[in-house]
Amino acid sequence: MNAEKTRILVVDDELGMREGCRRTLEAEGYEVDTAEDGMAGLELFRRRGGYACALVDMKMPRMGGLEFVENVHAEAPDMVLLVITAYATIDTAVEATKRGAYGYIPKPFTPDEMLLPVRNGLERRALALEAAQLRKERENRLLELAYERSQCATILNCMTDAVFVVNREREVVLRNDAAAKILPDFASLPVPAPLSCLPEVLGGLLAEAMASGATPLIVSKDIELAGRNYMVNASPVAEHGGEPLGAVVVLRDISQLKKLEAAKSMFITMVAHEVKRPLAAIESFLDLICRGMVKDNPEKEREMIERSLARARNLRDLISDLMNITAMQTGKLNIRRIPLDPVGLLQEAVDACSDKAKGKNIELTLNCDQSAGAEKLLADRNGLFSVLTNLIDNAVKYTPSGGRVQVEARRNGASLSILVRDNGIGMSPEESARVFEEFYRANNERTEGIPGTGLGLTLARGIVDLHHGQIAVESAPGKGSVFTVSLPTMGKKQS
Amino acid sequence: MQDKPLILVVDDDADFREAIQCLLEAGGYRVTCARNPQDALGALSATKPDLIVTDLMMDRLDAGFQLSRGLKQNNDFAEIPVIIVTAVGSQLGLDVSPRGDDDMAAMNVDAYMDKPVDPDRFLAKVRELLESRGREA
Repeated sequence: MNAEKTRILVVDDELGMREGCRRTLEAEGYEVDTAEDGMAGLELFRRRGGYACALVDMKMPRMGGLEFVENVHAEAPDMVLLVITAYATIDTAVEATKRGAYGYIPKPFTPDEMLLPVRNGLERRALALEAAQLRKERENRLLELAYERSQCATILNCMTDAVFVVNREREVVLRNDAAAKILPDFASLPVPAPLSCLPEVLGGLLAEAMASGATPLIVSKDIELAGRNYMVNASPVAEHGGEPLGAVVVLRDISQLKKLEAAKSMFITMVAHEVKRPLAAIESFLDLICRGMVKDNPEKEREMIERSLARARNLRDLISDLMNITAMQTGKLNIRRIPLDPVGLLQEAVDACSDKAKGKNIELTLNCDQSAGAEKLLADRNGLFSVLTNLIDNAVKYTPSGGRVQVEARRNGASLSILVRDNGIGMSPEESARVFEEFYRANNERTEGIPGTGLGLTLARGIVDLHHGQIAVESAPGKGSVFTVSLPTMGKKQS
Repeated sequence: MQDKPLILVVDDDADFREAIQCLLEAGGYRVTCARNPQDALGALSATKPDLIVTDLMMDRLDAGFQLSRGLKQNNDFAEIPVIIVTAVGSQLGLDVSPRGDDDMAAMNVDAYMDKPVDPDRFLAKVRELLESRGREA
């Protein structure tokens, strides 16, 4: 840091004086510049700058010492200005210090008499500079602190988790905005507020965390406040293993998670139930046969075996539907959209169901409006095929022998409407409203014995949703049902 | 000589209903069936059964309990024993299986069995409940 020498400017109109000073100062390790009058000195000061000290003669041509001092002090207030004067009077000294001089040296002087005030002045200057530096650092630190504090406050208040801090006196000394939202009554109290103002369960957790002593104890709990579920973590606030200074509690709203958990549990309960139902029927039938309880009625025995087989197949369908539902719910259903000719796909779906329709003596027809084939659909082939066969298969299933199932397709603005219409058993408004629900199956004397998983329409709606389409049903008991699927078409240009 | 005891079986699963009917008939009982609680109430008021075997989850989750509670609160039917037979599992999700007699009383049922039933245990339970009411085949 001391690689650079301290620089001193000597301004005097007497050459002998200038050089005398220079030699003395240089011998002391200073770097010295000289000027022959105030004007030249000021010019040098302004041009080179960086002087720590100046020795200035009082009386000089062009610009005298006082004027020089005034100018330089204005521009470099920390520079040590020493006035050399042969007229060492109180008046001139006062005048010079008024204008910014640090002191004066009466002429004539010995080298030591000159060096002493120079050293003193420089030392003072160094101290002043150091103090200024410290002051500046302190100011910066304060600014930083204020910034940090506001940053912390901002972060705390932007958190979605609620935060409370309690001191050793059991007063709540800090709470963020989320905390105020969760406990609006508490938020209106002044800070600090007594711990007893918090809901009992929170106060208890905080007290527990605080009482944990040397080994910090983090207390976690699920609680319910004002109809919502929170996960609460309370931990003591302590410095380096010392006594707890207080405790901090964080509340996270887990109501959504709880709902999800409940929905998942419910789904699993339903799945287990739906799987056990056909199994129970199969096992009961087989048990009766094995125990010889129907051996006197061979017709019944045969029927029971056939029903068992049908239920086993139904169980297989159920498992496959469950896999698809799960794949769909977890976004893993493999959907690959390609341009499809709707009329061709409808024909295939109808063909796939025609044997079943024939077996029940049901007239199954496809009627595509001219407009239906004009634009292609951007859709997953397998997905859409399964939706169509599901709807047609359902229509055949829920239509008594001799009935009619009509599949129709027509353009409807920017979408294609596919209708599957039957004159079967139909549904009540209550049944219609629930028909897309998972595992929902209408249960009445007309639906009895018709196999189904209760998931087909749930899956169909899911697949239609993935294609940004809509599925709806209109039905009346005894009159039949119409399922309508609307899918956006690609538009002429792209097709 | 008394008629054979009449048992009402309420279940939305036609196959299971038939299997239970077959089992009960082989056990020497008369059986009448209903596919849901509404039909069961109709059957009850036509002929009062000596015992009721009902599924739990039918049109709603607790349909069996609801039916049983309704009966126990009705003086005409309060003494009819009710057996719940259900495929609702107790391992996961919602667990409604009773832990003891107190639970069973709170649920207004006289017995609670998993589906499918063990034929011997089931028939023994039916017999026990009928005997306690002084009705046996």
